Amino acid sequence: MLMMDKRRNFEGFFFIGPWLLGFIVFTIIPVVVSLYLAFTDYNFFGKPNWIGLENFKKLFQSDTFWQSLRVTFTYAFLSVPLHLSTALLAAMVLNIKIKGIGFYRTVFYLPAFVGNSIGVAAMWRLLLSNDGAVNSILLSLGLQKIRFLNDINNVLYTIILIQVWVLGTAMLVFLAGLQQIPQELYDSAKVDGAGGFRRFRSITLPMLTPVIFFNLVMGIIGAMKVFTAGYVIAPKGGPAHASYFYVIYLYQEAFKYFHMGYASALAWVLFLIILFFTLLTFKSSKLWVFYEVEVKEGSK
Amino acid sequence: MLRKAYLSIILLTVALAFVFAGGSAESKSKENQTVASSAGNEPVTITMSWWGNEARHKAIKDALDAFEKKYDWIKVIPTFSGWDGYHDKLTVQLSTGNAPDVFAFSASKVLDYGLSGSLLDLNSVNKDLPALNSLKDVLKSNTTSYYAKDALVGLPAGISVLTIMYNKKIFDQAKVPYPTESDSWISFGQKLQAVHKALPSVYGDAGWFYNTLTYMLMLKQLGVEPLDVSVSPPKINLDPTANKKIWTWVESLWADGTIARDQGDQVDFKSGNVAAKVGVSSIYGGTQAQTTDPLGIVLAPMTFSGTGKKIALAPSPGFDWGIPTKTKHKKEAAMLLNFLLTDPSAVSALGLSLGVPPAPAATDYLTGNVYKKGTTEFELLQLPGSAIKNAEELWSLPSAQGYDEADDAFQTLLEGYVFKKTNMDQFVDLAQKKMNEILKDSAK
Repeated sequence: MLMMDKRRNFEGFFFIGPWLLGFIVFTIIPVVVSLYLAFTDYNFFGKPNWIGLENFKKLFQSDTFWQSLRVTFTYAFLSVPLHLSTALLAAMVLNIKIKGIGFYRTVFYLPAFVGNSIGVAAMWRLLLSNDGAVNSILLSLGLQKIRFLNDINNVLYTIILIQVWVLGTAMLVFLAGLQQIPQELYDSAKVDGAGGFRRFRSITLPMLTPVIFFNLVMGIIGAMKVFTAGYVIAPKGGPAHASYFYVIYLYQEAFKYFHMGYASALAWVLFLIILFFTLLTFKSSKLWVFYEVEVKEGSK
Repeated sequence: MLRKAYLSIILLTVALAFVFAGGSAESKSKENQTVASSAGNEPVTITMSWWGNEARHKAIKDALDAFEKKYDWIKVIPTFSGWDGYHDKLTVQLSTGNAPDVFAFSASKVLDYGLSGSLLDLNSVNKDLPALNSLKDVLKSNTTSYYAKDALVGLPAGISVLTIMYNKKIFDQAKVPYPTESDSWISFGQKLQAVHKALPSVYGDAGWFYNTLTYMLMLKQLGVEPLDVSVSPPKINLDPTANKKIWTWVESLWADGTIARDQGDQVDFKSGNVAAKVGVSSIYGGTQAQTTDPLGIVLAPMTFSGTGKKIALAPSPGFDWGIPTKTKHKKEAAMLLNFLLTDPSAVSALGLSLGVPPAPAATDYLTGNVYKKGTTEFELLQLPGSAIKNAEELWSLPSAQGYDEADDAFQTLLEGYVFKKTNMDQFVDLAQKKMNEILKDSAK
C-alpha cells in the first residue's frame, strides 16, 4: 500500500514537474532576484552593488513617480466601477432567455480574446488620432475635430472609455453569478408586488455581491498593472506624461535607461500598493458581501 | 495499467529525442552543403541585426547577398525590425553575451555600451577593416558618436547632416523663394510665414522644435555652450537670454499658424499641408516616399539671426555599426563591415538608404555611377562636404551618460509648455533643473 502511494506521488510530481520547473525558473527565482536587485544599482552590464534603501528614497522624491501614480490611480478609480457596471449590465441583458442567446454571448465575449492586444491598441490609435477615422467622420459632418489622444486633458479619459469595450471575463463571471440566483426569490418578490428595480436592488445585487467582490479585486489588480493602453494608444504615456501609467514608468526605467535596480524597487512598491488595496477590499467585504450560507443561517 | 503509463512516457521521450536528433542532422547536412561551395575556407555563419523601414531592409539584404556571393564561405543570418524595442533587445543581448556579430546601434548609446566593455575596439581588427583609413576625417569630425574613451566602438553606417527638406510645388504656388544655405533661422521663418500667408491651409514647417538637437544648435549659434562635459557631472546650460530669443520667435510662428503648436496635427508631406521640414538628411528617402511632389533639400541655417559665426552641425551618423566583444567571428564581422562601407556592389545596393556613405570613395562611386547631376540625390551627396566647406565651425553635441534620459525629460517638459501647462520661463527653468539632475545621477 505504501509502495502504491509512493508510486502515485511520483506520478503526480512527474506530470506536474514541467509546470513546477517553469514556475520556479520563470516566477519564483525572478521574484526573489528582483527583491535583491531593488537594493542594488544593477544596470544590466556591471555587477549589482548593494546600495541599501537608496532606490526607494530616490523613488519617493521623484516627480515622475508621483505623476505615474496619480495617472494610474485616476485610471483605476474611474475604470474599475465603469467596467464592472457595464459588464453587469451586459450580463443581465445576456441572461434574458431569447432565441440565439448563445451566439450573442459569444459575440460579447469575443473582445476578451483580443481586447488587450497590441494590434487592437494600435487600431484604437489609428481610429482616434487627429487624422484618424473618427475625426474624419466628424469633419465630414461639419463638426470640430476632437483631440482624443493629443490633449493632456482628454487622453486619459479616452483610454478609460476604450477599456470599457473589453467586457470579457467580468461579464462572464457576472453571468454565471446571475444564473445561480434561485428563480423562486424573484417569483415570490413578484407576488409581493416588487417591481423590476426593487427586485434588482433587493435580490440581484445582494446575491451577486460575492461575484462583484471577485471582479472588484481582479479589476483593481488589472487596473494597477495597465500598460499596453498607455504605451500603444497614447504616444508612450504622453503628451506631457498625461497617460504615463506606473508600469510604463517601470518599463522605461528598466529597458530604456537600464536602471534595473530602480525598476525592481518600483515593481516592489507596486506590489505593496496592490497588496494594500486587495487587503482593504477583503477587509471591507465583511460589510457588504453576502454569502448564501449567511442568508440561510440568518433565516434559521 | 501503471506499466502501460510508464511505457507511454518512455515511448514519448524516445520520439522527442528522435525529433530533436532529426533537426540537428538536418542542420549538419546544410553546413556540409556550405563546405561544398566554399573554396578551401572553413564555412562560417555570422549574425547581423538592424532596425529600419522596408526600403532599408531591402537595401541591406541586397548588400548582404552581394557579400555572400563574394565570400561564399560566409553566411549572414540577418534579423531586422522597426525602431520600437530594438535597443531593449540589443541591450539584453549585449549584457548576456548573445548579441549578433554585427549590429546597428544608435550613436547615443556609444557611452552606455562602450564603457561597459560590450563593444569591440574596432582598431583591434584594422587588418580586416582597411576602410578605417579612409574614415579618419569623418571619425575625427564627430568623435562622440564613435568613441568611448579612447576605444573606437562604432562606425558610421551613413552620414547625415541637418537639413531643410521643402516641397518645391508649395513654394512655387505661394510664389516664395526656396530656402537657401545662406538663410538664417529668422529669414527661413519669414519665408515660411509668407507661404502660410499665401496658402493659409499650409503649415510652414513640421515642428522642428520637437528635435532637441536643432534647439541645442540654435543655442550654440547664439553663443551658448548647451552641454558642458568638461565638468563633473556634465552640466546643461539653457541660457535664459538665448532661450527668450528662440522661444519668442517660435511663439510668433505659433501665433499666426505658420507652424502648428501641437505636432498632433500630423503635419507632414504625406498630408500635403506642410511646406518644409527640418530633419537629418538620412530621412530624405522616407520623406520622399511620402509624396509625389518634387522635394528640395538644403543645409539647415548656420546662424540664428544672420549675424555671428556660421555654425553647422557636424556630419553625424544615422546610426553606428558595432561588433560585440564576445563575438567568435571578429575577422568575418570586420570583413562584412568593410564590405558594406567600401565595396561598389554594397555601396550601390545601399544607395542613400543609410545616409551619405561615410567613405569618400563610396560617395565618389555614387556620384559618378549611380546618381546624375541635377537630381536631389546628387545634391544630398554634396551636403556633408558643403557643411564642412562653408561652416566656420562644425559643432556636435558632446556625449554624456544619461543624456538620452535627460533629452526625454526635456521632451516631456516641452510638451507641457506646448499644451500650456507651463509658460516659457517655467519650462526652461524646469528643463535645465531636471536635465542636470539626471546627468548628475547618471554620473554617479
